[in-house]
Formats: sequence, structure tokens, C-alpha cells
Amino acid sequence: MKKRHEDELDKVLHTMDAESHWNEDHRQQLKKNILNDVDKKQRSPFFKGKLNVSYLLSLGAVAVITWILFVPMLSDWWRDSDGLTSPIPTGEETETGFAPFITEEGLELILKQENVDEGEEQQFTLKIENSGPNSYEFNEVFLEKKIDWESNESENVEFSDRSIQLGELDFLDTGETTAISFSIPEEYEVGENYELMFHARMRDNEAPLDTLFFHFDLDSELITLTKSELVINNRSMSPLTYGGITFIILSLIGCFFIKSAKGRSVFMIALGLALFLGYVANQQMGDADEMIIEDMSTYPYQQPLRNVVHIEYLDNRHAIAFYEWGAGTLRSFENVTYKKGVFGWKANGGTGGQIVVDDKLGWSFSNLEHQNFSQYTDLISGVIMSPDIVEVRVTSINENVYTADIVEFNGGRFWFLVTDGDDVSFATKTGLNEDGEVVEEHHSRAN
Amino acid sequence: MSYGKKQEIETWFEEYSDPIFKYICMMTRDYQQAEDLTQETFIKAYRSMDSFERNASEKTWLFRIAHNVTIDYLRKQRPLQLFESFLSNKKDGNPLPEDVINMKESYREVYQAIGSLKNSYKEVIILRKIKGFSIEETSQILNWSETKVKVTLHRAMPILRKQLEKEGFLYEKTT
Repeated sequence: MKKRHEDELDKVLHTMDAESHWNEDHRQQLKKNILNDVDKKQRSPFFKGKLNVSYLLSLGAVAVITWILFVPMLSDWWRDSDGLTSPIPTGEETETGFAPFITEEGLELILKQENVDEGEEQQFTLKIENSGPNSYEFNEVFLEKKIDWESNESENVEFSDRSIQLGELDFLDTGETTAISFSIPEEYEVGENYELMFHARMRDNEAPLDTLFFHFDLDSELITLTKSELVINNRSMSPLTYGGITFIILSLIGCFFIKSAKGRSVFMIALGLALFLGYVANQQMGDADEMIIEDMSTYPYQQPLRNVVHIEYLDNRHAIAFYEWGAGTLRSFENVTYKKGVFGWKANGGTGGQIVVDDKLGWSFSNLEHQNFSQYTDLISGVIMSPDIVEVRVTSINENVYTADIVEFNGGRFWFLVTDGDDVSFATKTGLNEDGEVVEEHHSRAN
Repeated sequence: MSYGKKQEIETWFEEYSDPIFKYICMMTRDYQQAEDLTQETFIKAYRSMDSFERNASEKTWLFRIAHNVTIDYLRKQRPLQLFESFLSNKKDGNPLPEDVINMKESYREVYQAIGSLKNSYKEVIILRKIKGFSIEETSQILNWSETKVKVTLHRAMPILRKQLEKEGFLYEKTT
């Protein structure tokens, strides 16, 4: 150990400043920086006093809050204005009736009202000309009951009462022209409770291509077409874009106030983490119904006239969204399974099919095991077309008998059963009335 | 008026930037940060010049600003250091001041020992023993009572000696 006198320590301390040397170039550079800063502050209106810095901070905070709060709303507005959630009226008004409506595929519609006297049953002729390359099947004029999807207090309507067929044509080949004459019974108030519609399924020689739904507004004499849309870019701002722009704005503000490079990098890492964790927390704590419906509305493939009728939560992380799309006899009932992960609810898979009007107890089967849907293995569900059915029983091939859940909604009733191991793919489905009598039964295919 | 202020700050920089920088450097043990905080000290002095009542000397006043700037930085730095050490798994990538500032070996050991003391001990030793401020001036800079300055220095010096001993240097009392 080196021994020294205590006085020596005092001496070292006393002369330490004089004996240590700060790099002169660095000192001169710092002086230059300070004088530059002084010059800038003399010019800048923001650094005259504390109040102005506060003003700048407040302005920045308001800008950031405005961005964070309102940009998602703007994003929604852009998407709505894109016509994805509402049909685009494309008809024209005339004095004598509806102007020809021609689709991109060359299907031309002209609706003509044959009588205009009050008190009489309204009679119409729909002239259809197919000058396009495709043919059309399931051509049908019908009245469609208006459903208030938002209201929970509306009187429930059965699936079977949703549509009233007015006239039909089996097949319309390319180059053909035809006309469907029909009248609207007086008891149906078109425009108030019902909508006048026409649907047709377009197909080529091999397969159906799309389903077209035309809506006739008798008051304004407009024809509106709703069909499937493949939306490559739905202009909805993705969380990544939104988070990225927010990160850049906050980083710029942060870098303005934080001078050191180390401080800036730490700030940016913390900011990135905060945004990421904020997004994850938002996805974890947000309204599940809203998130699932929002996710469904951003599918690239938009089915026409789609409505989510029920979301069943099997547990905290697994849900099934049941929805219908279409109208008239071209209505389908389908489902999508959802799993909740770190980034919120994400679609997992789905099945369904067209509703068969004559089938009192519709059904379709989904193999959840193939979708890797936790312990759940089978989903069997379908619409109830008969108002007499009040109970649905499912008997599996293992002879286990289950009572399915029945869900009522404004537009009808459907049933579903989820199992966690028992195979119901070949089960017997039985619809019972109030007295326990069988109204409809679909036997197991295995039997 | 502004031109006069700028000139005055330039004069003060020429005169006091060196001891102020070295004070901050010893406090923070971060050369780059010490330069930044020195710059901040003089910018703050420029902005507060109108409120400087000149009761104390400008040197004491500038050191008081430097002390506040440094303490603010160290307070903010504490949680950040934990965060950084968690992220980078190392204490600090910057060179130590004693490696950048030209210094004799005998000073380096004392410099390092002071750097390892707690802030209040560090400050009082630097201001009283290195910078040569009086007790009254030190109490003004640190905003302490004069008694606290005396007591803290009285406690700090044996701790410094102990620290030097740990590093292999024994400073014995004169008999």
C-alpha cells in the first residue's frame, strides 16, 4: 500500500483543477454552440419566457391527442365513404318509370309501373336483357322485410317470414331478353316495412361467379345494386400505420426537448415499447363484440347484405360469430370462429351455406378440431325455419343426446351446439314443438 | 440589451466554463453529458440573467445553476440507468472523464475515489476542497445551511480516505 501524508491529499484536491485539462477544441466548440443557441433564442418567439415554452408544449400535446383520438374516426369515415358498408345508388330518375340500369357485366333492368291509380294493387313489369357473356339463375323478384339490426326491442321475425316471392325466372342465358310481371299485394307497405328487390346468381359454364341484389326505391325511382366486392385496399388505417405515424410525431416532439443522443434513444425505445404495450392492452381490454365485427368488416372479400346476428363466447379466448348475408331465397347463414391472442381477436376459420327455404331445421357442420380451436372439436348449427320448433336435440353417433342452444334475433332464430370431444358430424338433428313432438328430423348419415 | 447579455455570457464562459465543466464532469462521470450540461448551464444563465440580483458573485451564481442542472440530470438519470442497464446489460459505453481529461496518475486515483462517493459528499468535497469556495459560498450554491456544509464535509473526508485505502493508497495523519 502506498503511504502518503494527509496534507498531501489536501494538496492533490486543491490542485486537481489546475492539473486536469479539458480539451481546448471541445471547449471552443461548446462556446460556439452556446453562442449559436443564444442567437437563436434572441430570434425565436418561443424562448422569450417560460409561458411560451408551455404554450408550445400545450400545442404539441393538443396535436398529439387530436391525432390519437380522431384519426381512427377519420379512418372509419373514409372506409364508410368508400361504399363498403352502404350500397351505391346508380339509377336515374325519369317521369315514366325507372331508367335502364346496366351492370358492368351487361345485365340491363327496366322496371315499369303498369298502373298508377290509388287504391288498386300496384302492378309492375321488370324487363331483363342479358347482353353480357354470363348466364343468370335464381332470378327472382321479392319483397324483403326491413330489419332494424341495431334495435334489441324490435319484434322477432322468423326466417320464413322474411321474404315474399312475387315473380321468378329460372334461367336467363346470354343474349336473352325476358320480362317478369308482378303485383304487390296491398297489405305490404313497400318503403315502410318491406323493400322491393330482385336477385340473380351470375354464372359461367363452370361455376357461380357472384350474386347480385337489386333494390328498387319506388319513391325516388332509383335502382341500387349490391354485390360482392373484392377490396384490395379498404383504406382503413392499419394499427401498424397508425402506430408508426404516432411514433414519428411523438419522437420528433421528444427529440425537440431531449438534447442528449443517449436520452433520445432511450426515449424512443420507451416510446416504442409504450405504443406497443398500449396497443396490446387496448386489444386485450377493448370491447370484444366491436373488435370482432370490425375485423369482419375489413375482410377483403365483402359478401353483400351481410349482418352479424350473434357472437357466442365459448370462453375468454374463443368465440364464434354467426352471420347471414344475401336476401330472398339466396340467403346464407355462416359462422366464423375467433381466437383471442396478444393482438386481439383474430378470425380462425368458418363454414356455412345457403339457407334452404323448405328445410324446417337447417344445419351445417364445422370441424373445430381442424381449426385447432382449443378443446372444442365440433360445431353444428343452422337456422330454424319453422316457427313450431322450440327445442333442438342432437344425438351423436355415441348415443349422447344434447340440447342445442337456440338464439333469437331480430331476423329469425338459429341453433348451435359445440362439443369438446364427442363427434357430432354424423349426429341426428331433431326439431321438437312445444308438446315434444318431432317437427323435423335429419338422421345421421352413418345410419 | 441582448447584445450586452451575449457579451457578458461570453466573458463568463471564458472565465468559468473550465471549473464548471470539471465540476459537472466529476459529478456525472460522463464527459459528453458534462459538456451538454455545461452548455445548459450557460443557456440557463443567459435566460435568467435579468433575475440575477448580483448579491452573490457571478461565479457562485453560475455554480448554483450548474449544481441545479446536474442534480436534475442525476435525478432523472437514476431510473434511466436501471432501464439502460436492463436493455444493454452494461453500465455505460462512454469513456470515463479521467480517461478523456488529461490528468496525472496521482490525481486520477483521487478523482476516481471521489467519483465513487455519494452525491452530497462528492459535491461538498469538490466545492470546498477542489474549487476552494468558502463555507458561505458553498452553502449558497448547495442551498444548505452552513452547519450542514461543515458537518457533511467532516463526514465526507474520512469516507474519501477510506475509499482511497480500499484502492491501495493510505493517507496518514501528520504526527
